[in-house]
Amino acid sequence: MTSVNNPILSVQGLTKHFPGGRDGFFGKRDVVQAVDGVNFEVAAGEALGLVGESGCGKSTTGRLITRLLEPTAGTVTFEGQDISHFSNSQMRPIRTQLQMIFQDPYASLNPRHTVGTIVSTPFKINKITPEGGVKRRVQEILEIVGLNPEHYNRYPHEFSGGQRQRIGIARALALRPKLIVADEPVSALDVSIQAQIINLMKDLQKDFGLTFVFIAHDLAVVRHFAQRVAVMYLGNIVEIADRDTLYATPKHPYTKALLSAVPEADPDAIGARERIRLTGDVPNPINPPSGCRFRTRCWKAAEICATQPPALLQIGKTQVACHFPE
Amino acid sequence: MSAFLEVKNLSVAFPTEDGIVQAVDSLSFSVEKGKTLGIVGESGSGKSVTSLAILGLQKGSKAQVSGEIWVDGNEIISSSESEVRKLRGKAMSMIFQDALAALHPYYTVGHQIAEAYLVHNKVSKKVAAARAVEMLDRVGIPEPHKRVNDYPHQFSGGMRQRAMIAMALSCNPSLLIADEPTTALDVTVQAQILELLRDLQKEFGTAIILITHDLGVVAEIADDILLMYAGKQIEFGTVRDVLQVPQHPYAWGLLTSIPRLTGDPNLALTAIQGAPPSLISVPSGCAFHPRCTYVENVGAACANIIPELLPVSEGKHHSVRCHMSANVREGIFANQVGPQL
Repeated sequence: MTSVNNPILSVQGLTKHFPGGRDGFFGKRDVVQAVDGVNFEVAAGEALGLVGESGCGKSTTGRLITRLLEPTAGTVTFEGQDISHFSNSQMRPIRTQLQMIFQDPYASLNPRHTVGTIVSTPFKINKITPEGGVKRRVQEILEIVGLNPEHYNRYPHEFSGGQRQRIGIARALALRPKLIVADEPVSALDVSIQAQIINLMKDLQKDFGLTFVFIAHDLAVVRHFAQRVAVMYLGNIVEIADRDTLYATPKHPYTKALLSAVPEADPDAIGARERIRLTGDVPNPINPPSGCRFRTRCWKAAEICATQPPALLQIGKTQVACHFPE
Repeated sequence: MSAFLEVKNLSVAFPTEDGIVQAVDSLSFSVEKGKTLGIVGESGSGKSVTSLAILGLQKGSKAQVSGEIWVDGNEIISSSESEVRKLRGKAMSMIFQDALAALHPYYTVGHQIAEAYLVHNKVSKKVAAARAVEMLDRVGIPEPHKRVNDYPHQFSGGMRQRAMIAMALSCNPSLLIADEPTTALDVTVQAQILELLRDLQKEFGTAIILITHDLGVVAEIADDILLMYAGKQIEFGTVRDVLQVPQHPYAWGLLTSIPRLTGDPNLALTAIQGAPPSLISVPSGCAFHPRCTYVENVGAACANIIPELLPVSEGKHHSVRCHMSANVREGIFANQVGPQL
């Protein structure tokens, strides 16, 4: 695989298998292959988009990177340090550099803590006293994310969904991390609020030189945020390319189908676009198809697809895992 | 009789401890058979409450419903619960956003589809069971005679949504209300479900009300769009009119703020400032005025007088609730909004 210059994060052969149900009382446990041999690198200062449908392993990948989960195999290297099997106490100093923004702004904030407590907790945990005191610093951060610093003593329920997401962003920003993993940060928000949060995160990326791993199912949202995009399907990365290449000339049939399925708010575009209708659902990750995992829904599938899993290979500016790329 | 469904001056209010929540405020629209109306709005704009009122599902709750709802010549609001129950499922039915929550986990999918059919048709259980298999087949579930005995948890998300559509259509209703039917689904499955709805509509001539926040979904399937904000209808017109020559500043804001697959991705999205208002204290005058960029074009009227819903031009289907004159709106659209679309 090609490497990006100066990677802040590098993921090699990353795999996570979860134990599933048992086949009878004495039967063997099923294994859910949520993420299976994922490789990618993220350069400092870039935003990598991770897209795919539910169950493709994009959130699990995000949780492995932030080490909320421990990988079954493979490595996560953050700033040259292999953190794949770090203990909680070893992770603590790393977490000041590596933060996460969650999807649900209602579930990810403790309802019994004030905004001030929530945003100042990272300072307390890491025993950091910023210049001018914690409170002043927290109020500065609240202002940066577009909240009123006087709301320091309010509780999450007093805020709207968009404002709560800003609190989540403030918490992630508190210690000035280098890398932020944002897991579906706008999908729970109203359309008119989504744009505000995307713009805010873009500004923050520019102002603080942040690196983002942006996980989302919405291809249009990812297009407006990420500079490079990786498409996942059933625990594998099927295609990675820079944004313009991926959206203009998708190489993997799945990427092509995914792009053509996005409904567009333009009645004229509907007739004009080529439509690919995938049949069926995503297969069960307990028992994924042999060879290429997409072959059961792919219109190009041939014999080789069932026997050999395609490797992620460089074709032009794209890396694609397909025996018959476009 | 003209339209199959006619809603006149519908208002729904909920008394709460904090005051009255005016969820829907004097809404009027109609839907003809074989046509699809998309009701679009953000959370709390009153779109789901409207659909529940049409089905008469607020009877027995504290909701204060006023106005008229005519379904196939029957007025719903003044009818008794038992009269509405005869229509529900037969003349009109509904599919919900979350199929897992809407299906009963203890009964097989087939049982639940047959149950709806048995209520409205004097047939044996055997006939109803056969009907369930037929409907599952119709909505594209493979091996329907086997899957009919499965429980909802054995179905995938897309299949559950199909099963719910099968249930809703089992009595050939003339009106189908679909409340965010594809929001919980992945895009590739969403495309399948939208196609299914389109095909079934063609076959049965059903009138569909599609409730959604996704302008893309509306563009795919609807004929008309009704745009709601804070319980009020603020723009109405054909899909082409509303999406290509939108008139209301809120519509402009929505259309320029959604990320698209075309255009320059490096430009910042034009977000609408602020947040949707609380329905307990809806802003005076035009409810959108605190978030509107063009308030200064009008002045005091926006904050004080509720604008009327008026046709964009004489005799036009396209209507809007805004104080700005048609000329001013045209100018703003041509210079500032149009180029961004």
